[in-house]
Amino acid sequence: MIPVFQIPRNSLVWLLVAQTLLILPHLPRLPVWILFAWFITVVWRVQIFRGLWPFPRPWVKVMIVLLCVMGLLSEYGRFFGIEPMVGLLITAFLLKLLEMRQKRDVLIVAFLGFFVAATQFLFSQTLLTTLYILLTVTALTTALLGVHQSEGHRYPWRSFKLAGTLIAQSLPLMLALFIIMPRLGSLWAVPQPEQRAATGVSDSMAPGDFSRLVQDKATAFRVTFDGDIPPPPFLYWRGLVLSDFDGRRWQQARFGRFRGDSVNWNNEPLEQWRSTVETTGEPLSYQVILEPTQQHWLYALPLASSSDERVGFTRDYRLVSRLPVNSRYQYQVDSHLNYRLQAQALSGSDLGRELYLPDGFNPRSVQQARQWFAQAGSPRAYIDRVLAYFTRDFTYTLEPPLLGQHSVDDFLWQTKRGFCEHFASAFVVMMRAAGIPARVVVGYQGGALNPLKNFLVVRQADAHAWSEVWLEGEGWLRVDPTAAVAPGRIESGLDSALSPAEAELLDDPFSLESYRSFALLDGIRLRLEVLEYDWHQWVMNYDQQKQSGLLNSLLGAVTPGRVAAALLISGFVVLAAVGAMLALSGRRAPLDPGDKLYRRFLRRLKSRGFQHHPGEGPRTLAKRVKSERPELNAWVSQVVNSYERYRYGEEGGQLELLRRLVREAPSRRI
Amino acid sequence: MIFQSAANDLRARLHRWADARRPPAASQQLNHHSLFIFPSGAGLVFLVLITMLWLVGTNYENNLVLALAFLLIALFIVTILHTFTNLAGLKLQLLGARPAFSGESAEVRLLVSRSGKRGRDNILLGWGESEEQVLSLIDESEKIVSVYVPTRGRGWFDPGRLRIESRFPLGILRCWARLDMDCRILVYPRPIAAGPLPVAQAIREDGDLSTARGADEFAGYRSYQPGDTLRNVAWKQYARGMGLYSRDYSAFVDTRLWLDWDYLAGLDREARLSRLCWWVQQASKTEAEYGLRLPGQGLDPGRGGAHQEQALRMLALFELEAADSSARSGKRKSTGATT
Amino acid sequence: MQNLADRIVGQIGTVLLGKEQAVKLALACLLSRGHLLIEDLPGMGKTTLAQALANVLGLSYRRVQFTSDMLPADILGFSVFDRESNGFNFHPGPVFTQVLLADEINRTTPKTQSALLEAMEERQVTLEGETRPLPEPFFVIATQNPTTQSGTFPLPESQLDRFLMRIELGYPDSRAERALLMGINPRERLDDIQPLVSYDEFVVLQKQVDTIKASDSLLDYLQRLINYTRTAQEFSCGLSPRGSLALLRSARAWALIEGRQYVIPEDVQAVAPAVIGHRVRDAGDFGDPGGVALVERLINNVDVMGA
Repeated sequence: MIPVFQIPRNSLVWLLVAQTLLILPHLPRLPVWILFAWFITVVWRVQIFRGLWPFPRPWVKVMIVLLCVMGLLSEYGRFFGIEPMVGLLITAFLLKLLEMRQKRDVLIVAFLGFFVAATQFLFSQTLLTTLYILLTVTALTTALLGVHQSEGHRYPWRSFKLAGTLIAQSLPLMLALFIIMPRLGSLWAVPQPEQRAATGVSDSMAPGDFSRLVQDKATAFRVTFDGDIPPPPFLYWRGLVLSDFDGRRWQQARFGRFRGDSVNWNNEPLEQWRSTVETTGEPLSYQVILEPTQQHWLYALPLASSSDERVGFTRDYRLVSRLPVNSRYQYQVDSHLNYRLQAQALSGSDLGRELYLPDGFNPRSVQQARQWFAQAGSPRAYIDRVLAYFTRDFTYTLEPPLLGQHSVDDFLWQTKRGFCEHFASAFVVMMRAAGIPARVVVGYQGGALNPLKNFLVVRQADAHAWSEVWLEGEGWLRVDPTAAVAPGRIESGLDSALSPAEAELLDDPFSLESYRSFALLDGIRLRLEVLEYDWHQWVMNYDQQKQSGLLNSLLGAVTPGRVAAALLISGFVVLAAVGAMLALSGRRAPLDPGDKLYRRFLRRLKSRGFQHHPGEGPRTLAKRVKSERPELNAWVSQVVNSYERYRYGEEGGQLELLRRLVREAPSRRI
Repeated sequence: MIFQSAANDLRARLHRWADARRPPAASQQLNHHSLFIFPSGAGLVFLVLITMLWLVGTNYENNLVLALAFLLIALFIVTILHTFTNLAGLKLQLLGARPAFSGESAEVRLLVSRSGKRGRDNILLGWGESEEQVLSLIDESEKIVSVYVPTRGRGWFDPGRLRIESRFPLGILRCWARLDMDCRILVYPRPIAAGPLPVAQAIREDGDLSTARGADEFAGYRSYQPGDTLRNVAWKQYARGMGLYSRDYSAFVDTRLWLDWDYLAGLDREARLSRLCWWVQQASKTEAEYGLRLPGQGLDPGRGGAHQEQALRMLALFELEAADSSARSGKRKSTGATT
Repeated sequence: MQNLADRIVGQIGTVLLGKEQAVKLALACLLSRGHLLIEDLPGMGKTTLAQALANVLGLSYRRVQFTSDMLPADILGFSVFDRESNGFNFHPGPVFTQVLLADEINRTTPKTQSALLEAMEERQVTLEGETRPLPEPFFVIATQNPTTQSGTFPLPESQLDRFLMRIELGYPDSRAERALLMGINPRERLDDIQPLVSYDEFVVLQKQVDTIKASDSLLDYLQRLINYTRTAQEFSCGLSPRGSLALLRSARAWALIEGRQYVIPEDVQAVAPAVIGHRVRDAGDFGDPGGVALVERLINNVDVMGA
């Protein structure tokens, strides 16, 4: 008969804790019925533990497994892909609970748990996630530990503490491995996580879109400049160029069946594109760390180019990523702030696209535009005329009134209250109506400097829409009508451009961003930003290049021998430290000071040729000294008397005397 | 299968090599000389898991999955130390083996002690392949543990090497030692029921002295009764006018129980020993005095625990001791030469 | 106190020459309310010591010579039907005394032995359903011949444990022997011994024993000793908790006799052979329990200082 193994309660409890911790963050990706299966398995397991229910019969187990597999299949429709695999893994992790009969099974469940913990990193790699997973791993380790403790049930927290100690002792070695172990790069193609809801600026613009977006305090991207940070009026982060207008909604221009411009992946723009660009001065170099957007387009200052292989160019000089950005994405950009784009001429198809207005929309605006253009005489003067009109009695507001079918007409001549997308849209319509090629550009404007580390944080709240107009001989020029209405928006951000009542609407009580006026909290916020930034730079994005740089500075040169030596040495140092810690904890309790003195006394006696026996009490020793070494008698009897009174009579005052007496040993010569 | 047998062969070799390094001693301290450490089956699975995590991390170029893999590697390495120090420094001392009847499990008592303030957990102790005792020293610094070992035959039984093993803390590593504790267990013959106790001579319930008259030792005076031998009359006292007394003598009449080899004629040696063994047990229960007669040796009648032990020991070692002790001393000499 | 103990020892020394150590042990035993077993060959002065102790402490004293045909009633007493009162009259046995000298206790049958030993343990006698307390104090000083002598019933281990100490007198040294040969028989001077302490004084002395300090360090040493008996292979059985308590109590009494207010390791070492000797057994020796040599090894091997 196989002896029945009862999983220790300590272990089971920690296993269930770890399981809960592991499944919770995966829940949004899992089918709802998993919750139900989870509940049943946990209850069943606990009942097994209490001896109330039996283990499931084999056919029940087969049924459950079949049901779960079918459920997963109907949810995801396939098995190849991260989500179904994670689902499968978690299901196995749950069902194995019902099957734990032996020690070995507990280990397997815990090992599955480690794997599930790792899958969480495929979806999120923030510092917070990492700390959470570290906690989970500690709980799993505690469960493992609980199986191998004979009296674990007596000390459940001691188990957790010990597991924490184990993990803590492992961290330095992990760090060394992390720094030193070579990164091989992807070995074969692997399924990527599915797209989730896109965040940030979307690929179309209708009135009201931006005023919703700017209420989001989340970070859109972070930028580190190699040199100085340009002043705010230059910080227009171009994302998309919207040329196609249907009377209400702006979208990317259509090229054949697809929207969006054609892309060149050859690192350098095509020669025919290049010929249309003139730049002066040195480019501005910077790194962008983009939060996941689930979109292809990237943000950069005009006029951008990138040496990054994964980054492509469009003809309208935007940057795009080959894959949707579904995890933090870092790319390098060079931007020429002084440029002329397509200064000479626009092709016929370009002209048609950038001048197009749908028929029957906004008749009043079109008429007014033609009238003003005729009055102004030159495109420049006309632009100033329109901007002057905006400046006069328009209000920049987060809560613009609703607009009718002729949205631009309503806005320009009736409501006169709007947000950036209203101004940009109306401005471009006015331009096109007057025969000036123009388009809407969406992206972000501005950014907050983190003074601790000198990087710029751009938030969703910095989302912005503006316009570009094409003037013959000058090419595409950026014109931001919002700047005419609310200059503060460009110089110092959204909050200062809005009325105080509206700015308050933006405040999120749960965001540190809302407490910028409190110095302490603001300090914390800035530090957290830096932490998150460094985390991305040095952990998530620690790659071969960073590794070789770091190793070069640490080791002098990166040779296999040196790397191996560093690995061995760091491993050895960590092991020695842990070993020393363990050895220290294995040491005896410290000696009583009196005993220490008496031992010294015995050593002194020995150096004078008198060896004591282990079973010999102080008094017996003194007696033997008296007969064998009478010349030492006076000293020894004093010491012994004092020691006896201190140690056995417990006269604390004798300690000083004893110390003096032991020190006053007669010289050896006698 | 082939792998399995190769592994067994390797293990046997390892054990032979290890055994040669350790001389037998009743008290041994575990240290790096005696301890071996190797990943357990679960540990190998753990290494496979780490490899899989590393592959996932590398393929997804996901530094945090890699970091988790590295953390588990580090955990594995740190656990080596913990598993090792869970056993290292433990002192095992043989306290003695309780004699057992052949075929029963003998109890061997060991004192396991630790020094220092770090507790030790989940230590398995066992002889050979027999079932292990689980021991932990968490708050206490020493414990006496009884480990049972099945016995065969009679005489001195060598239980082989004591296996001490621990997989603490995570079960991914197995640390073990095999110690020759220099333990000899006295195994009594297997008792076989042999019918009622022999009643060759009359015995009284308490096996006491009988005061049948007319024998050796002067026991005192008593009033003369008609019929007493005149030789025993205390004439001297009579002459002093103290009355007529008889000198009283008593003798030890051998009415005690003898368990005799010869009663069991017709059986072979072991069968006789087994039955004598059973008789000894029965006689001890009655609190009677009994003696033992074997060819060439014997045990004077007596009672009590020590007497029983002596009788059983005599049965256990009958016609064995000489051969055994010479073998034992030979073993000692050879180990002495290698160390 | 020093004086008193010295005087007692000196007094007894006049009748028992050259046996100060044994006399002091016997005194320590009585001070710690324990019973004493004296084991030696006949004629070594066992009876003299017992009688002298009783005399010097001013206690009532009875001697019983144990023989093989003795019955429990001979010790404890018995009831006789009295026709006049038409009831039973209890005739107390010799056990109803303050100091009982049980001479040659191993010559009597186990039945009688255990009757006495029970009385010693309980300090009362239960006969025919009636319990009668023994006088206070109640000491048994038993003597026994070495068990190797013929015609003896050695006391079982469980009953040896009831004696706090077992001492041996041994042959007198040559000086004492000479004095013995030259002088008159010291036994005849027994009657000259006058009580030195009253009963009340004696009780005060007994109470003082409990006030003697045993420091942590000393208790550590004591525990090391006890553990050694329980773990070392040469001991077939370790010291029982009763044995460890006995050791501590005796060591306190010894310290008191030595005139000290605290116990030192030497006190433990002085009483250990007498207190432990009959409670442990050499693992290699199936014969008579009694490991004075074993105790000596114990004392030599256990570190006074601790490791």
